[in-house]
Order: sequence, then structure tokens, then C-alpha cells
Amino acid sequence: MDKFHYEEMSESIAAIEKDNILNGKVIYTFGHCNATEELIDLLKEHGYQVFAIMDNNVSKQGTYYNDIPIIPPDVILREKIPTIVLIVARAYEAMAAQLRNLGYKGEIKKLVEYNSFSEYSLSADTIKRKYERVQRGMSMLEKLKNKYQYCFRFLCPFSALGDVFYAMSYLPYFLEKRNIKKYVVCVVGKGCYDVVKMFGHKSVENLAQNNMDEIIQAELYTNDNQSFILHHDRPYVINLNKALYTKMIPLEVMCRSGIYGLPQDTIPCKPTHLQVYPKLDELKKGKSLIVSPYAKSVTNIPMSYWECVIAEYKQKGYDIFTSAVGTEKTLQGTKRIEVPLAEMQSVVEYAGAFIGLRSGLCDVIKYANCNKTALYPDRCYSDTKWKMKEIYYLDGWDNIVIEQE
Amino acid sequence: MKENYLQGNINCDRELLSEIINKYDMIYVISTAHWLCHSFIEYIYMHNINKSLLFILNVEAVNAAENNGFDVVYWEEETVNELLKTYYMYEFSHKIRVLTIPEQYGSLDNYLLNGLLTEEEYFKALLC
Repeated sequence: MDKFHYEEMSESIAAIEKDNILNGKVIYTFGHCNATEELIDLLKEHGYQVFAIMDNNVSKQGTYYNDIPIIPPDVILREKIPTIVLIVARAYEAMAAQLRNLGYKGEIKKLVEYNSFSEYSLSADTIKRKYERVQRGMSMLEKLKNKYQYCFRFLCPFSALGDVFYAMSYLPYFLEKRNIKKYVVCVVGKGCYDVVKMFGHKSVENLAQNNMDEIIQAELYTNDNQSFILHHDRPYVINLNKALYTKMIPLEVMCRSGIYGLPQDTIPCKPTHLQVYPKLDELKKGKSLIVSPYAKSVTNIPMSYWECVIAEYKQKGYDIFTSAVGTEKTLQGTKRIEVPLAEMQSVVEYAGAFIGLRSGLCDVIKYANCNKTALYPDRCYSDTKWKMKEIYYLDGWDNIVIEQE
Repeated sequence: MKENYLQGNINCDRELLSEIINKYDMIYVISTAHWLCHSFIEYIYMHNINKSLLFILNVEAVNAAENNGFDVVYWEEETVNELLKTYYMYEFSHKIRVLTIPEQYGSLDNYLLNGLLTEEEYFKALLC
């Protein structure tokens, strides 16, 4: 979960604590994902224990997160004591609708606004608010058009490094296909901005998430054909992810063939504007290991695994560095290293080895010339039957699945 | 049309929309003759799809009589446009599927056109 949404989640919990909403209730969550795990951990810090995680994915049911069982949603109906369902997953509206359709009458609380596109209501008030949202979007869109006159607009709706990396890898072919000469790439967050710059694109606009959402909605509402949305499942109008219920399609292929409609043999472009980390001499050349234990889209792997890796490499005489940003913790027994994205490839190549939880950072250093290992939890992608490793597989890497404890 | 919605005139029949959302599992809106409309409806006709489906069209694309487990309604173009206007304003239900070849984003049609999905796999995905 990114910092912005984590803070929003923390504020939501503080608000429901203040209103005593959780007292005397059995707490359930819905949708097992990285965000839900962070919610559970945060609730524990506040002295609350989650009873169970509901999930529609049959392959996840019967497994556990920190002794908390993952169960089918209808199990909550058997509860005799008052319950509350806390949701931080993206598909809040669909989850709430499912619970109500099952006959669940207890409280359902959305703790994070991940998806301002959706509200399952046709009340006059909802339509009025949503139209006002579109108006705000149209106003921001006009400003964007004035700033980048006669430019085609590419919109990366989600703050995910990997999504943006793949989008940029195939963008040149799309520019040629559509004969686009002048364009701007709009992203959310500095990290995604830096990824776009790594590919040499000159016009890049960094938007706040809510502004991006509203601009996208305005683009859809006005059917403006001078824009293109670069994502496989956001917003709701995009149906590419439906294919995953019948066929395994890796993320890169979703981008190349699904988003852009490019042939299967299209070769991705590599970043052209990488830089060299100025403090490489702080690393032991060829005998350093960079570890990256954090990811937004995949759930964590046991800390014991990292402890084993660190011990093993130390015994081999390696210096070990944790690649971390902001409030991310440095793993015990390692040194912290914070590297701009464009310089990361130089660091891992100099170091000689990289081991990371599968994340967008792995995509950023995809082509680095070093020993590269991507770690995957033994989980399925979203509510599909495909494993994370299948969807996010990286060619030229060791792709290793770590069993949950 | 553009001036109309820019001034905020939204005339979708909310009661009717709510009624069809409650009644059906999936609602397909086809405002122009999608290239696979006939084949998709034929696929549903030939297979036992265990869902209640509604097709909303503004062109006479199918024989509406005796359909196998799904309903077809014909709305005037203006009415379909009002529905689409609301759909592109926000997601008011996860049951709505608009069958179109979009210019602004990728779609399942791309997978079909470049051979990643067969026609049957494509139809199955549309039904998810």
C-alpha cells in the first residue's frame, strides 16, 4: 500500500475507534491482498484482532495469514455475535454488494478510497455528485490541454512502477501505429514519473491520484479521442482482466497485446536514459547483495526467509544492502541504500546480486547484468486461479516461490 | 449532443435502470453493430449459460423471439445514449458491459485480433 493510502487507512481506523464502532463486534475483512494484511497488522497495533479474511478465491480459502483463516464470504452469515466488515481492497462496491446479496445485515466499512469511479447507487444525490466530479475532471482536463497544446494524452491511472514500465516499453510502437507526433504522458507519483523519464520521454505530467481519476472520467465522458488510458483493469470500462478467468496471460502480454493491440512478436524497448549512482564505491564490487523486501501488489513473504538469505550471503563474505525508501525498514544485519530509480541498474550491476520480492522495482532493473532473483508468495493473482509467479514471471531471472509458514 | 451533456442534462430513467440491474446478472449494451454481436448472441443461444442476461440494442441485430435464457430489448438511440452517458460518468453497477471497439483504451477484442484468445475464449471472458 502506498504512503497516501496507508495514511488514509490510519485516519479511518482512528475515526472508527473514536466512534467506538469496533467495540463488542467480531471483525472480518474482505479480500486477501497486501493492503488487507497491512490493515490487519495496523489493527493489531491498536489492540484489535481480525477474526477472519473473506475471499472469493477458492484457492486461497483454507489458508492463513498470521493464524487468521481465509474463508468463503458466506461463512459470516453463521456468526451469532454482532460483526463488522472492514474493507481496504479495491473492489469495495462489488464486495459490499455481494455481502448484501448474501443477506449480510451487519456493518460494512470502506477504509480507503481506492476507486472513486464506482458507487453502486442511482440516487439523485449520487448522480449529482458524480456529475460534479466529471465537471471537476473537465476543468482539469482543459488546463492540461492548455499546458500541452496539440498533444495526445497518455494516462497511466495507477501509481505502479511495473505497469508504467511495461507501458513505456511498448509505447513507441503505438505512437507509430497511430501516427502520434506530439504527446504527454501523465502519471501518478514521482516514482512513475522517473520511470517514464528513463525511457526518454520529454513531456511528463505528475498528477495526484484523485486528479488523475477525475481527468480520466472526464476523458471517458467526453469521449475525447486525443487520449489513451494505459492500464489493463483501471478504470471499470476496461475488460482486459476478464480474459484471466479463461486463460493465463502474463502482465507484460496484457500490456503489449491487450492495451496496445500489438502483435505477439513485438520486442519491448529498453530504457535509454539511465544514470550511474555516484556512490558506487560504498559497495563491494561484485560481492554485494541488494535486497528489496517490499512490494505493493504482492503479499509479503516470511521474515525468516530474509534472515536465512542474509546469513547465507554474509557467510560468503558479501556486504548486504536493503533497498528502501521513506518509512520502509532496513532489514537487520544490512545497511540501508536509497537509490533513485534511474540509477538502480548501475547499483545492482556493480553489486553483482539482487534478491527482491516481486515488485515494480524488479521491472525497473529487468535488464540489469547481474544475478537477479525475484521472489513470489505462494498465492494466486487477484481472484484468478493463476499463481503470482505465472502472471509476473521475469525472463532471465531466477523466479522463486516462497511457501507461507 | 455534446453541448447537452456539458450542461448537465442527464435524463436516464433511474427507476428502469435499477429494475434491470436487480433483475439480471449481466446487461450488455450495444449501441452500434459490434462486429461480433451476432456471433456472441448465437454462442449464448447454443450454450447453457447459467446467468440471466439482458441485451440492450438500438439496432435490429437479432431475432428477439424465443431466445434461450436471455432477453433482448430495443431502445431508441437517444435512450441508449442517455444510459451510456451515465455509464461513462461513473460505474453504477458491475453488471453493465458495453460492447464496443474503444479508441481510448485496450479491450478483449485486441486479444482476439492478435490470436491470444479464440472466439470461444473471448465469449467466455465477456460472460465473466
